[in-house]
Amino acid sequence: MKAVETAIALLLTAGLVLIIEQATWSGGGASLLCTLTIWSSIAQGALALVAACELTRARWIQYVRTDLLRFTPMLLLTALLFPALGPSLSIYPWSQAPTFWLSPDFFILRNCALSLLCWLAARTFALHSNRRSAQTGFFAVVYLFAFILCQSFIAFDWVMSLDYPWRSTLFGLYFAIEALLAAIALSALLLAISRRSPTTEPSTLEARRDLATLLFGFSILWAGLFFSQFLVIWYGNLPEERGFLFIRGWTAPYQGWALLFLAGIFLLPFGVFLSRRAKEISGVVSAVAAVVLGAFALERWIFIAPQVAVSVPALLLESLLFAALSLYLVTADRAPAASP
Amino acid sequence: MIEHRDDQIERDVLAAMGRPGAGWWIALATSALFFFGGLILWGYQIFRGLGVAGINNPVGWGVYIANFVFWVGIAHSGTLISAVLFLFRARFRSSFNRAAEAMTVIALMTAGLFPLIHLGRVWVFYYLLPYPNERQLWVNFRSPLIWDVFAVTTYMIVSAVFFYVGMLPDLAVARRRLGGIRSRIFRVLSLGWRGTLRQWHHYGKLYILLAAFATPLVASVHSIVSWDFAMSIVPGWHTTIFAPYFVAGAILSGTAMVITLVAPMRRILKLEAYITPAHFESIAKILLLTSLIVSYSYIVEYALAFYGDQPPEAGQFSYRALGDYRVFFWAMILFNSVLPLSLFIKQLRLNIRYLFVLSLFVNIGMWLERFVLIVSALAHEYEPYAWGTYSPSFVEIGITLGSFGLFFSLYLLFLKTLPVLSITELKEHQP
Repeated sequence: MKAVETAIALLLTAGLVLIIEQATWSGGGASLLCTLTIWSSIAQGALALVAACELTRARWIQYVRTDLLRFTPMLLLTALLFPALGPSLSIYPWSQAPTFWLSPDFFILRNCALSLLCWLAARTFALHSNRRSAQTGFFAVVYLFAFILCQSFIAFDWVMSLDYPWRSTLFGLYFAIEALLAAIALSALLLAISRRSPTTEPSTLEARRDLATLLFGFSILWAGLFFSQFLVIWYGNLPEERGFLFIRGWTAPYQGWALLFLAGIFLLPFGVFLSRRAKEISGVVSAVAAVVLGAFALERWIFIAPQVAVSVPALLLESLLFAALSLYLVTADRAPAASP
Repeated sequence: MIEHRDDQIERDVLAAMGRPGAGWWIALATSALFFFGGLILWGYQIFRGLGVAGINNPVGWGVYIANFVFWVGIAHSGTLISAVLFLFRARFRSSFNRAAEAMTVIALMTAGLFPLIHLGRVWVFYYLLPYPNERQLWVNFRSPLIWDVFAVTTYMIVSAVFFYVGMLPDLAVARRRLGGIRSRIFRVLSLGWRGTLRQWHHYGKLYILLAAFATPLVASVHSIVSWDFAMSIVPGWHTTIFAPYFVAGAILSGTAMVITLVAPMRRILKLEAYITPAHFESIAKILLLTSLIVSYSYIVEYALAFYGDQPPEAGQFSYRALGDYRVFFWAMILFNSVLPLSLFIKQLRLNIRYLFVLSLFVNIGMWLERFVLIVSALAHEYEPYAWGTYSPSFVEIGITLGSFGLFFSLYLLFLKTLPVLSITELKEHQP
């Protein structure tokens, strides 16, 4: 991919997002926060999935590895857009009485630095992975460390501190696993749109089955983590803790949406992929993957929206821009399809 | 050529079941001595009452509960190595799976004793079971301790079935190769296995089904054990990360125990050709990964204890690091988080002696973790007037050593009575 074209695409996306954020109906930073939370997790998760597969020598990744690595520039975009949240930090309750850790300047500084660090680690890893260099494993480990660190900060800093002083120690790990789940769903979609020929079709089928199995397994893992968090808070029944669940799980309009994302992330992949046959049908795997990604975005919205007014039109427009950028990154330098 | 190689594998693995040497007898006698010592002390506790233990008010849970959590944790790695690695098609599992599965069953038997020991009046243990009775008295189904009874029992049954089913073809080999009374015993145990195509077909289906069932069970069992603590509102216990943290910790301790058991076993039973340094390297990577997850949990717990305005939580975590049990705490950090970082060096992952020593440290570290977690939280709850300390009595220490005696005695007996490696899988995986 030509670097200049990519840079233009990134700048164009950033500019359009910032223009949307300037509009009076955009919600004063809340929609940008929501967009960044969704897309930085997808992009970081995509790279983390490749890194984990490099370390475990998973064979199915070869079909989508290059496509997933192309998400690297998106990490830079999220890092560059994050300071735009600066003027909107009043959406955080701690901004009224800042502490050393939760102060506006330090908040912006550490998260920008971490996002840039994550992009650098991803870029180095992607370069080595594309070259198939002997050091790929080492840089995969480095990137995975950066990934866990960034996901933890997205969870604890970006999202959890909206409900300050509410806290959940599981939040960081939960976000990291969810980012991987989103990346697996993304891989299933990328596999469906990848070029195929009759000679590669049987192995693609095997890869699709493996991806569907992973989607199935990770949806169970996600449900386990979700339940672990839910049960401890619900059972403890402490006033300072249960509010988080009560707003999102028992009050309108979030209750219905919450049930929907539960069904989308867990019940659907679990129910569908119990069938071995369903794992082999491209349309079924792609549809389930698309629902999982949608439910993942919906969940992130539910985390944020009860605390700050997120403008849904702005969120949808920004997400569309990021989706268009993703499509561009994945397809821009693909070689023309070889004739069968 | 293939037949000759298969014959060699059968002979090598079954040779381990041959007449035991002096070393085995000494090891068994020592382990049995500890076990019987512990048994006598348990008898003493039953006779005199639970007052002979060091538990007190406020520290009502001591080393008995720490031992229970420790042994349940040890029991986890068996199913992880066997079932999860089977589902992920990791071939190195064949060098460890039999030993790990045996370890699981034995560790669960050991763990199951501790709630009974902790009860004091062990003869009323059936109060824990929901049985129909004319007074319509039921157990408290909302208590995580009752969830434990169901979870651990289910895990025990599934692990034992998984262990036994996986061994069926090997028992048939033992029936064919061994003579005398052992042949007759294995004739019964192998359930008429003939190795027909139909039998292999059913075996394959059942084994993958059991593996798929056992995998979420591994996570659920230790999650439920973690909820024994997290469901309370005790500072240091009531935290959402406990379930994955306990599961990772269980796999860490279980993997360390597998290395502790298999490293000497490989040498003494002359199985070097089948359990290679490369296999140890793979298992060392699991040890490293789980150590990193556990370390992450330590960091997150500490960081969030000081987040927001939570004086009891912050006080609890300060107490752990600086209070009465600080030596144990820092030893735990050193053994569970710092020393395993050395496994980033490939040469050390391939060094079996180093791995053996490291696994001993991790075992100690994981036991200390359970001790620190349980005791320091109860010793330093909300109100300063209710703070206290705890140190185990000689009865508790003796019973703890006795549990190790029981574990090693049963494991030594396993080494000489059942095939210690999966003959079938070794044959499959030979080049």
